[in-house]
Amino acid sequence: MSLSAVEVLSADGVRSVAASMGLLPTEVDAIVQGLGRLPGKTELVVFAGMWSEHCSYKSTKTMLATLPREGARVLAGPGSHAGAIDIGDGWAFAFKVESHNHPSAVEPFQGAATGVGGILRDVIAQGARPCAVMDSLCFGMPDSPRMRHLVDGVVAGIAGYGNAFGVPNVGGRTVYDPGYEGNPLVNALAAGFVRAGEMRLGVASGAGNAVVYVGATTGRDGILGAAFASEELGADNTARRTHVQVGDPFTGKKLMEACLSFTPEAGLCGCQDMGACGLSCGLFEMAAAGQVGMDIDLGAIPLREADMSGHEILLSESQERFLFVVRQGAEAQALAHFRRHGLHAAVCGRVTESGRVCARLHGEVVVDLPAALVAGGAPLIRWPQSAALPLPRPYPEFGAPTDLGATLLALLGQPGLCDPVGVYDHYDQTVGNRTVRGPGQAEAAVLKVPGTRRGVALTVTSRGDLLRADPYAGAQATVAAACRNLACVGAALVAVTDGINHGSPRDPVECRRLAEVIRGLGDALRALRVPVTGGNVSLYNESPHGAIPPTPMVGGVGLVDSLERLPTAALAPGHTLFLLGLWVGEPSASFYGGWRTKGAVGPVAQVDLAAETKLAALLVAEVERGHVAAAKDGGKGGLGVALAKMCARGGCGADLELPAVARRDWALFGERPASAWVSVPAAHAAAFRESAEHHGVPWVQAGVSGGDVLHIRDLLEVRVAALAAAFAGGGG
Amino acid sequence: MSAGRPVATVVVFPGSNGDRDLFETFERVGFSCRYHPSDRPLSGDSAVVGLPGGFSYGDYWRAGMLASQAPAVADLPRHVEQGGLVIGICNGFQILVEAGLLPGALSYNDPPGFRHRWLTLKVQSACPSPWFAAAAIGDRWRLPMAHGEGNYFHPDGAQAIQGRVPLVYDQNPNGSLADAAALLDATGRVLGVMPHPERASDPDLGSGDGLQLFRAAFAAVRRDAL
Repeated sequence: MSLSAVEVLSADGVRSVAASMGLLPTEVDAIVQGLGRLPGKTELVVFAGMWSEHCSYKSTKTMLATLPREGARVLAGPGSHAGAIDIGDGWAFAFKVESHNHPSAVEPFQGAATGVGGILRDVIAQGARPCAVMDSLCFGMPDSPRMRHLVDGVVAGIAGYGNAFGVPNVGGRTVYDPGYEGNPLVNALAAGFVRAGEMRLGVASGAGNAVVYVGATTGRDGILGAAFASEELGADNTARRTHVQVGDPFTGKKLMEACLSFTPEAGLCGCQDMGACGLSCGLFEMAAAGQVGMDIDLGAIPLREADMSGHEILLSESQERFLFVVRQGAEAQALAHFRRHGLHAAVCGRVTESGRVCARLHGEVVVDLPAALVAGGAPLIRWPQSAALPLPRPYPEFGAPTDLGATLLALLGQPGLCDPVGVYDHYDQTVGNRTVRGPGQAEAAVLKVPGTRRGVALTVTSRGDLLRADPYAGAQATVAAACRNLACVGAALVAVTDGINHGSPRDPVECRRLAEVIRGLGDALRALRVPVTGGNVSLYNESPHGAIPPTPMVGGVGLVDSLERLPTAALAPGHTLFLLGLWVGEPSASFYGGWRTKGAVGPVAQVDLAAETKLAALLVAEVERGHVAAAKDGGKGGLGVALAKMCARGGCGADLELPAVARRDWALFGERPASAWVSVPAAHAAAFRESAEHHGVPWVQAGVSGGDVLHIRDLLEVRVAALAAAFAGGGG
Repeated sequence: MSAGRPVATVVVFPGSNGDRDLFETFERVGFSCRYHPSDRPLSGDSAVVGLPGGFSYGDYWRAGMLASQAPAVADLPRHVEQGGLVIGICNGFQILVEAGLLPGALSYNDPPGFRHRWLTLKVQSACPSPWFAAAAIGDRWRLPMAHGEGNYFHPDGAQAIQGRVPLVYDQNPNGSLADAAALLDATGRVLGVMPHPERASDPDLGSGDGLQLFRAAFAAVRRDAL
């Protein structure tokens, strides 16, 4: 097939167009070599999108391959629409995280809304009905009007899409840190249940089968958004607004219903969300996965604007669109099915045996490319890494506060530690009737498995503040936190999805940090014997303020055997309180340390994964035996803040005594992994102690819950009402 | 459809998202439930018709306005006249008001914005209604709310809805007149409710209080059938 004459470029033309779109000279060479000819104009644009970092993972593929992927429960791993695990009773659970950092920085409402829409469609493409969304948000300090605008816009965007679509938001994390001032992070996780035998593949097959476009029309929004996501943000990104897509949850909802009710019996052969790189991604990835080709008529694509060019149609990231491969002969009924759901639908081409995607517009060939070269042929890049990273220095010395109660109250009201109810009450948390534990109701969200009394527990964790000091230990701490969160509701961590947010890999220091992040994740996951089922990488999170702190977000999934004995995170009176883990009065990288030193970074406490494993095993076993009324692990703010939150949420005090330590402030507010508070009905206290011994978990029987004062002898005495007010007071 | 079980119909509008929750709740209390697309007239053999929560037609205009024009909604007065029951929840309540089956209007929350929250509601004395036949005056129910336009308004004030409000908010979350969380028509058979009783239908999910409405409706329908 010969390209349309207007597409043809000279060698010089190829170089200059390629450079203007961010393709590297080595990539141009690979294109020319792979094609055996010079690429045309539209072809180059397709390469620029499909070989962007966002779509090709060219800088991280080699590193990501080191993460563990195998697990007995894994039904779908990396490369699927969404990862999926076997959760028993014939059900699979599909889940995946996605980032929408750059769009949200430019247009917070639409950026966040389409981030949610995009990840929902990945779960739907897998064949699952979404049952939950979680989010992990990182912003700069909320005191500037610009940052308030970003926070409010992002929250409204997540709420606006999820609420109307009808998926509950069951929890998340919101972090405020100057490190995200110029480049906020918006990560969303979506999850859903699907019958294990009904999962779907993004694979085209069967020459002659129809390629069917379904959903919203194609407009000029989000053109080359994937390439935009693979650049650094500048000081003024307003001109980038055209790269941001616009979400429509109403169409998204209709699309879900139409997609989930379109079955193999009705002609379904394969399907894929048109996400990053839009139609190109759907065509080339499905064709490459099935080792087939496609002949496509771009004139058949339903357009929003009549005069769109080939590259605009191919690269538009208009939302709420799916590409289907439909069995030959079933097209008419398929189109009728989709149109009955109020969607645009059109046969836009046929599967061929050529292995090439050939697209025509007005009869002229604009693209004729081997699918495998476009979808998987981007040359991998190993950016140079700096030899070693600077070791974090100890915190500058500062004295212990005299009034630890006042310190606790002050900490509790800090943005990022105080109750984020101002964020999550914008989100529908119960639609769909699966939410057993939603935001703030336990350390992890819990969803009811349909038709059973079992649950799936979900959590998201991110600790950029620790990774800033030590990417390796911080990445491990991020995984360990997910493991502990789930254990607090009695669930063992069985799989994770990871969202890596990072600066530019072209900076050798950042690249080294990236390698350390992935090494830390991998080592922690291997130690816990947990696989990664997929995820997302967002690089070039840089602004004139510099790179963001390395911020891997971990979405952890666990199974809850019985909903009958599920703990909360709120203290109730009359229980015995145990502190699990070490009570150590020494400095460690922590929210407290940063707060006291106005931003200094301290040494990260080493993660003891054997201790994490034991702690999790103890919690899972004791929840199972019905011995745990409430549990909360020591996280940001340390054990002191964790305890105060349990008191504030339960409206209940406690009278406790803890071993003497050198620096009581560090014991309370320093952050050490493998620690938790557990409240146990008094009748089970002896059995719990025995179990802790058996599992090899250090424990202190600290005292009993009750009354309206939190009293830790020789440390602090604070009224619960004051804790509750401080916890509630800080807002977002 | 199993013989003898009374039929409940859930009308599905484009953009409904509480339809499955309502369906499962009807089934749980004993109804034989079916979905019905809003663009077709009602079939006529249902004892109860439910309008679910959601964002019908995206609610890009006034909530429930477009959905209130649907053929299935146009059939509701006949259904009620023949003794049938109707429940509209959240967006369904908005649709009932827009369609004129219930008086007044539902406006933007005060304070404004979509809010999700677990609430305590109080059953209070109202006109006889099959929906509330089993509820004791003064009972407190725990139900979640999830809406942005639930601020009930009537131009003639509280007087106009006297005896029509079976459920009130303990702490009014949206500025509703007379703390009204639910509203009955003059027959007592048409119920609009802003919080979500169908999401309080399973103690594992936080509350089973909402089941009382559906059980009462089921009992009433069964009794009528005998």
